[in-house]
Amino acid sequence: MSGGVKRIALFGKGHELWPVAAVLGRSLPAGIEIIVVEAPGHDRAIPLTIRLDDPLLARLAIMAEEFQDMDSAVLALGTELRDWRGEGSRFFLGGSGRLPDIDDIAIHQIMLRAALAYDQPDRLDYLCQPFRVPARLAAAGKFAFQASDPRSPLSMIRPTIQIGSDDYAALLKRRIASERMEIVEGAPRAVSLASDDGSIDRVELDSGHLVEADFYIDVSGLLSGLAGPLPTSGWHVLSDALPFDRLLSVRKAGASSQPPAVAQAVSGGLLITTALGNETISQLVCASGDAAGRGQQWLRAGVEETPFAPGFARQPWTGNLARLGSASACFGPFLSADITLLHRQAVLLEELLPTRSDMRIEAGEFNRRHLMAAEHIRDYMLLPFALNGRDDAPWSGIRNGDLPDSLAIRLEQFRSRGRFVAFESEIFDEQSWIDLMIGFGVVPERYDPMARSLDMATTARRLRNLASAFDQALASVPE
Amino acid sequence: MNDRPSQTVREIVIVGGGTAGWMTAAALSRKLAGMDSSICLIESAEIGTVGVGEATLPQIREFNRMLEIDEAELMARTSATIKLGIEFRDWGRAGDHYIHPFGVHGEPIGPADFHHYRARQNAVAGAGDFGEYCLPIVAARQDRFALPPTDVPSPLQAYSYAFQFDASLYAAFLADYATARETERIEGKVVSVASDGESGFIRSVKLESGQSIQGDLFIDCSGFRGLLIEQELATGFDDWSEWLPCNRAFAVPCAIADPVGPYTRSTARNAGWQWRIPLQHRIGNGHVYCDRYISDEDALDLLMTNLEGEPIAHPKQLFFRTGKRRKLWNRNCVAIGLSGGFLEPLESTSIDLIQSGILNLLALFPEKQCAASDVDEYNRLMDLEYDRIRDFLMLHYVLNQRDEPFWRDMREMAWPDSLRAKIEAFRRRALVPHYDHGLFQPASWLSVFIGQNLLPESWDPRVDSLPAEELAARLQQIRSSVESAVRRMSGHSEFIERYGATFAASQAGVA
Repeated sequence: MSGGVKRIALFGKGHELWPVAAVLGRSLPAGIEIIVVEAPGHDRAIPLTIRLDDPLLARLAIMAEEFQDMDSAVLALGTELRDWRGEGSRFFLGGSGRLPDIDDIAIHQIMLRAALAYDQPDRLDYLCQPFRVPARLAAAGKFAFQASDPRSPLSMIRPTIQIGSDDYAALLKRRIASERMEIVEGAPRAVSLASDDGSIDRVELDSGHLVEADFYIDVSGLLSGLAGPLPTSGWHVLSDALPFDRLLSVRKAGASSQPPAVAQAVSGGLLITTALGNETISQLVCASGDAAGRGQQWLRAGVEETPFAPGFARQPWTGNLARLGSASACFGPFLSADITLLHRQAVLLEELLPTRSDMRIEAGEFNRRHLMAAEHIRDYMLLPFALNGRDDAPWSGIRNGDLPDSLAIRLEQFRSRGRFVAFESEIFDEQSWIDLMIGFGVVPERYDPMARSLDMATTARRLRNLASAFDQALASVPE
Repeated sequence: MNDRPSQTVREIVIVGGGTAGWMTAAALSRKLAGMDSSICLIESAEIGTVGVGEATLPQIREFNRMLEIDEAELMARTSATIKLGIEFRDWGRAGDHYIHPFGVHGEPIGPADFHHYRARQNAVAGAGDFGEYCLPIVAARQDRFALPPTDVPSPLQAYSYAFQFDASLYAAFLADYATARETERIEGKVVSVASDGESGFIRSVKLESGQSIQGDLFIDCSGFRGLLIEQELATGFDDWSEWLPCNRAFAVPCAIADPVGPYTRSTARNAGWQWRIPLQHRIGNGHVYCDRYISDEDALDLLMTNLEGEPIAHPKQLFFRTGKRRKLWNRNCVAIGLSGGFLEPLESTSIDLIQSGILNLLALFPEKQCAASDVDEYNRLMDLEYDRIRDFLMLHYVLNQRDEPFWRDMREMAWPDSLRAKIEAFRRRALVPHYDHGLFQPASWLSVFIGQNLLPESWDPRVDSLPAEELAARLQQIRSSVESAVRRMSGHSEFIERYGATFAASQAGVA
């Protein structure tokens, strides 16, 4: 095998740095050295929500039990979306797997047929509710792990862990085989570039220490800033769809009596409240200059303010520098999209580690698959914004804005005939998309004509039996 | 109660029989049962069918399952043999041979995909033939077969299979199926088409007899001529002959001389390639070629001198142009089969493209007005399917090391960027295309890459974590497991007999 990459340098901090370090440390052969450069200082913890079936946790064989001793960790089933469709509205968004079909016809198509047949399209949401397992469990104040038996309704749920970023970083740092990597503390101060191809030769830290490697990974943005910014054309700006530019955070000590995670639409922005085991953190994304209405009032004392520029890089790996995490994307706190993308990137990077100095093939494939993941996350995150029912700013403007093509196809197909469009390498569950669209008031204009082939009397009986099985499964879960 | 009855497609007209027409009729008659829709298929005994594809892909088993067709009965009625893959001879260099299997190579050894481990071992100490790590390949070479286990004990045994059958008998079998489910067969030739002046929708077709047949939805299965989709709707054709230049074929059946293996064979020739598809009662043969590089006479001669048994019919010449309609669904007309497009018979994709067309139509089955969103989505999905198959077919041609002008030109032509990227990714880093929805999965790409001598220059560095001795032992263990599993299989002919799938030629009216 051709030589080339013998030393990898990883730059970053905290909860972004250690997942990547843990994955690389676990799988690299002895002949490749890793130097981890951890930026100094201590950022205040932010809440992270991570699905227990996340591919990075699977890769590192991290089980739910490992979180249970951590002060901040809370198990949950999803996020409650409040006031998005208007004051007082509620919708629980959780990972929902895939519902069984009835004679190859999706359940929501059958319900749609029933609703349209009786000229009551608005009842579609109500008719689908018995089959929303995570929402029903959450409403009953219950929690369950995903059942391994695919026949169980509980196999549909996708539990999450809500955890402080500092605890999460510490957990992963403990898993690092320290003999496998050199860990230094420092921030990059200057970067020397090769004169021929512009790749990074070496990095000088603020301590004067020189870091030389064949391949550089930046998960903080500090190194990327010194190496030269990505061209503007390489950054997909989300400010049209998400017209927010600042993030305000406030914390309250102690556990909360609120549901574990609430994303509340408020005048001027989005307020996200995440209950951890030892504190409750509220985060408001809003536009500077906006009074941010009620949201602002709720964040009176102890407000931390950070700039917020939603978007993502189209080609985060250029030359011998791969940008991950906040160096490559910013989605903000809603649905913990940033950590979701970072984990995908880390697993992808592990699969595509370069083997020689010409890394164009690996970079091209990484960028292609990163872009798919980022677009899936963007679309899923934007969907409730696009379907919001509020009349105040900025919500009505968001609703009337342009959609990315892929999201437009999904919405058009669902609005037209209730069909879910699956693209390559989906991240989110089919039923979650469907529940979200129906729950946010999308009533398809027509149902799948194939649903006409069902005898509705027989089908109604089968649906009742199915709903009854769901009831029993949910009843068996302890309070 | 409002069930939108006025929008329901009541009358479906399929123009053309053959494999495409009857597969469509069978599927629609099954899935639309109880929906108060009529299906009418118009065909003429005077118009011959091309009889595309006697070899199939494993996806056809899903189609048959959807129709609840008994496999043994199907095999007995269509003279079917089992197909575990396609053997390619002389495609890289003269003398080379490999099998593209319906199963995977190897099993997980570590975090990287199996072929990375094998690539390392091959570079260091040699790793034997890639096919030795694949159960269906070893079984095919030994003329053995067993149904795949339902509870798969190891990824090694997660293989599938398809059929090699007489496509005209398959069409006849499905005709029985569809007509038993109220598909009306009308004998006749379409002489004119009436369309709505405003919408451009087809309203009826008129037969030579004077009979007029109205419909809400028309399925064009009329073959290359595209009677509705092109002659009436002038949809346009994307010509891909620049990339897939073979444009003619001779086909001839011959008697069985050698044992009938459970695989199709494709042998590269000077200006094209020759197929061999063994059925229970005969062997189908054909020579696909490009007329810019060889005369018809020489092409026929090459075919006839390379038959393994006595010819049992006159050779039939076929003319085609590779490519696809610009829209496979236009207004209220869906083109399925050759009317929609034709690529190459090389990987048995013709019947699969029919199947994709049908399944996508079922998934997007319209109301009378054929909403633009349904039409656009159908065309998007089918375009994706065609593009990906095109790249995979081209891969066989461009990865050759032969000296003839045809092969040299194929190697040196401008490849689509999408294909070039895939080849470079494998050459440089052993990366293999992977799709959620594509027809050809990594095992298929790997077979051709390695079978046609494209060896990766580097591989996933994670494989270097495994000590050399352990890697060699694991690879040997996999080969032994494959051998042992194949030894437990029965012979292919024995399987057909025991399965109750023996062809009764006399019942089928076949000599």
